[in-house]
Amino acid sequence: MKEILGQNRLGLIAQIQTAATDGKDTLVKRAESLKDVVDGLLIDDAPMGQVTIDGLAVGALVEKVGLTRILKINARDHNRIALQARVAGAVALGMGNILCASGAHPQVGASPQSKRVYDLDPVQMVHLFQSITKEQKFATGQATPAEWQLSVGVEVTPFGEPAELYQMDVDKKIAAGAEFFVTAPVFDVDRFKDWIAQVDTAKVAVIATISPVHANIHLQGGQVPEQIQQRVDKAADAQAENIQLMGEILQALKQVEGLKGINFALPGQEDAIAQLIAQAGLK
Amino acid sequence: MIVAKLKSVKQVTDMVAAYDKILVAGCGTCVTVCYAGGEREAAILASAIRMRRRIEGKNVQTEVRSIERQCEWEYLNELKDEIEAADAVISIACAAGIQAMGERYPDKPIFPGVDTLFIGIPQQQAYWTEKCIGCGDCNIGRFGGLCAVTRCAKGLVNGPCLGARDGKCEVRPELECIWTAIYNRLKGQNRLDELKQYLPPLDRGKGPDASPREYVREDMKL
Repeated sequence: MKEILGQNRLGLIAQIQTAATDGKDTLVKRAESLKDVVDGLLIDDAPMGQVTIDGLAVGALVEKVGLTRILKINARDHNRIALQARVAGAVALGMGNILCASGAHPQVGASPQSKRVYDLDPVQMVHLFQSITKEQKFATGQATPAEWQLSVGVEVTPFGEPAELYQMDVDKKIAAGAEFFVTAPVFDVDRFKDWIAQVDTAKVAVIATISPVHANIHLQGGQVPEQIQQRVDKAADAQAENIQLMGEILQALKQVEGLKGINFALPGQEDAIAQLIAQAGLK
Repeated sequence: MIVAKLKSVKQVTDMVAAYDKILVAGCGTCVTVCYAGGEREAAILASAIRMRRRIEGKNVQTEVRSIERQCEWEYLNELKDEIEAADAVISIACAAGIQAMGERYPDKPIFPGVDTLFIGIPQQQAYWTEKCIGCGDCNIGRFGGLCAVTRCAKGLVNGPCLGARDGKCEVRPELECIWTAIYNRLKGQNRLDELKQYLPPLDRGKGPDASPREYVREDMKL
């Protein structure tokens, strides 16, 4: 993640659409269209119980595009055996950048009859992955391979209430060794500024997520202020309104001290991502 | 207590479609308290089965008998004659009781008249809530007397997650986010420092992932 986050400007990552229906060629085309637009691709992990191409396969298929690849791994679907296997796979594919997440509960998504796993929570995932690197062995006692390189991040929300509880969550994640945070979608930049002022940004790199307003936004920790919800609901062209809105948020985020990166949560909307980046002068 | 709920009459009658002499066996403990499997429910179920059979143009003989607990051999022994006389048994005890009965009387087809749900309490009249999934490593004290393993939908012990909205769980908006409840409880007890402690992954070998489990008290053996 150093290449992305150690620049003079905000590091830019984009969530790539990995819906299984699209197939391999479309996937690679999407990655190619983001090549000179962003610094890295965030590969999601079966969001909302939808079937996506497994992230490791995605990582292998888009490697040739040359963007940094970040693999999101959810706690929902993986026990500790599978978690370590996927991380080992990621490292083997040269994409040892892991974003730990809990994953939306099966009951709220497309596969409500599915068993939930949640063997580890995201804090434990961070702790485990960092221990593996530190001790040079997996939890089974097996040694890690010679070239073991891992960058571990975790999702956080700046907007949870009670604020003190969520602050403790941030502290725990930093103590566990999180190197970067990817936040819940930001709509209220003032509130975000208040939050980031309390985060030890010397210890962890904060990446703010930009997303259009949509029905499931709260499942990602996004809280849409009433006036913004109204604005989008009343707009003749909700998509255009969302682009406008995200543009404004980006302009405001550029000024936020301590912010290291932006995550574009617009899977499938590569043109919009390019447009937003250009208009906000992020590069 | 163990909370269970009655299956539909149709489902139960279909299970015993091949049998003509049915014993409906109730249990006087947990299932009585949750209005699922007591003496009263056994009688009502037996009557419903007879009515249903009549509608189908067939006959059925039902016997109803309730015992104190179906999960103990000494009480199950009381049912010897009724079970022998029946072709099949519908037990409306919890699944533990049903299986004890099956073990005590292995030659008789036994069917469950209830769906066993969870270990819980009667939160209010006619409303039960799950409290314990039997993880085998109780840490309720750390959480101010609440169980994160059971009552966090994701079983997080270093919670919360991102999905809560207005203090409610992402799974059901009626459900309070247990982490908000834990925070409030510990705050009220002046023990918020508990939440600063990192909790390592659970040993799943102690809980339901290690099913079927057993427990022995050597010192209590005769």
